[in-house]
Amino acid sequence: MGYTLMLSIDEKCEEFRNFGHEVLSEDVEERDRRGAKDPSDWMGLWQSAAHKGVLGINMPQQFGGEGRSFTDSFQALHSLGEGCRDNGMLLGLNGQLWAMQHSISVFGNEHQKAKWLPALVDGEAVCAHAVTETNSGSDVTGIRATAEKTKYGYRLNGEKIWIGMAPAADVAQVFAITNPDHGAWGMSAFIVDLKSPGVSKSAPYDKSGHRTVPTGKLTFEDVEIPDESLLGSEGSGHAIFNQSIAWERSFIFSSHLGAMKRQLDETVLFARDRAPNGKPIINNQTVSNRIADMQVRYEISRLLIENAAREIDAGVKNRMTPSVVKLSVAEALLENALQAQRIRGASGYLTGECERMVRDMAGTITLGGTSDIQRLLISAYQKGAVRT
Amino acid sequence: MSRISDQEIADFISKTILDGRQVSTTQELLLSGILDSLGVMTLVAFLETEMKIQIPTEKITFENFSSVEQVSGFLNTI
Ligand SMILES: Cc1cc2nc3c(=O)[nH]c(=O)nc-3n(C[C@H](O)[C@H](O)[C@H](O)COP(=O)(O)OP(=O)(O)OC[C@H]3O[C@@H](n4cnc5c(N)ncnc54)[C@H](O)[C@@H]3O)c2cc1C
Repeated sequence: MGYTLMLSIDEKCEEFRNFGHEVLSEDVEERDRRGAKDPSDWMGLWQSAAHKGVLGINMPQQFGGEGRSFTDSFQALHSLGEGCRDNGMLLGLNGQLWAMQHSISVFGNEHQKAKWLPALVDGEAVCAHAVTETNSGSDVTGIRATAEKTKYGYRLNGEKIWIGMAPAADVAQVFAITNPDHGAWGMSAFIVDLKSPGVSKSAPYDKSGHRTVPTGKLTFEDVEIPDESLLGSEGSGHAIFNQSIAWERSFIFSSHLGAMKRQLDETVLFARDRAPNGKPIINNQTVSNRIADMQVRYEISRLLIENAAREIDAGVKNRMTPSVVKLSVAEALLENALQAQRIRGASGYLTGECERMVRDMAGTITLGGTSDIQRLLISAYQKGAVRT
Repeated sequence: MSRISDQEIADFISKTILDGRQVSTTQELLLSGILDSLGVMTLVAFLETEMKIQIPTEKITFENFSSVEQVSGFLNTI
């Protein structure tokens, strides 16, 4: 591979911001209305994002990425979100980047990395993260999908629901029980080629937000998968899940935070310009207080994600960080979207950017583990980590 | 790294996680449901803090956490 000169981080941010604005935001209102029923509605944009380097930002160079630090990757993805009005696309791209590609690059063997990472980075293949089941949402110990050992591999059975990109994904990281004697602790992770016989994908759900990319169900009926599908070792699924969900919780909203910044700036401009009777509404303290609080929530969220990135770059392990980030950032995203809508009065209630932000951000407090669950996790760590 | 006795681990589990319910050092903790995954995380945070160690996430397995004895056997290996 020849050497290509890497852009400085400021240049990269500028490039991603412009790309988000000029390419990914196109037609977003219509696409939101159509609800990603047809893959041609989002697939081309996904591939353009991949070719722009979005999915390679922190991936090793040998697999087609730029190998940037977590800190720089966050900055670039934040800029992408500042430009891009399609939060569904931002969620899909960040989900694949943090929950799947990163875990393949850390837990995968050389063969798995070489087989999947270049295709994912380049946008040739789309990956889903399949954890949730009907009886296993907040509590992953409820997982019932099984992968039974066979002569040449495993036989996979089970049903996964609420899986981002599932209706059109090519591959999925699937969590299933390999040792029922160990209950939920006998779980393993697999990289499953979704073209395998016995796999079926549902149509996209008609969901409230993030409608521009599909979410759906994956069903596995006696799906024969080879030994080489196993990620990590047998029984390490619990650990791989905890680690990959930690990356997801810390960084999946990197670009949503950029969207939050744009929303904040646009809210200031709106409140400055909207002047019934000649008096700008921003000069009412009730309104300006709300916008000041929006600024504070944005700044705190940004610092929290930056801190999570700096910890990882410095090799510091802080088990509480991902839950603190997830809880705080998701609640801030939703609260700011609601406040922006309130400030816009009736115009914020028309279908369009402002109400779409509310619908999109409402999903963030649930995906990747609800706010209630993050509080329980934080409390669990606190109880053990404070010395008597 | 500071050492910690089996009884201290059992006492922590009993007092902080199980509201005073006693556990023995040989009792099975995971399949019995005595410790759920949040309980395991509390125990991990306690061990890391008291012993000034970092437990790699991939070592938080059934084999290493199924009883107090297993936990202390595992701690001897790191
Ligand atoms: C937009 C979106 C995208 C998603 N993408 C994916 C994906 O790609 N892959 C995937 O595997 N999953 C995905 N999910 C599923 C998501 O992870 C689950 O919805 C989430 O973990 C909650 O599970 P549940 O919906 O079953 O709710 P439940 O677990 O049934 O919870 C319902 C309510 O009860 C509360 N609750 C439950 N248990 C407790 C408790 N012990 N203490 C206190 N409160 C509790 C919850 O906080 C919640 O308010 C997605 C969800 C959404 C909304």
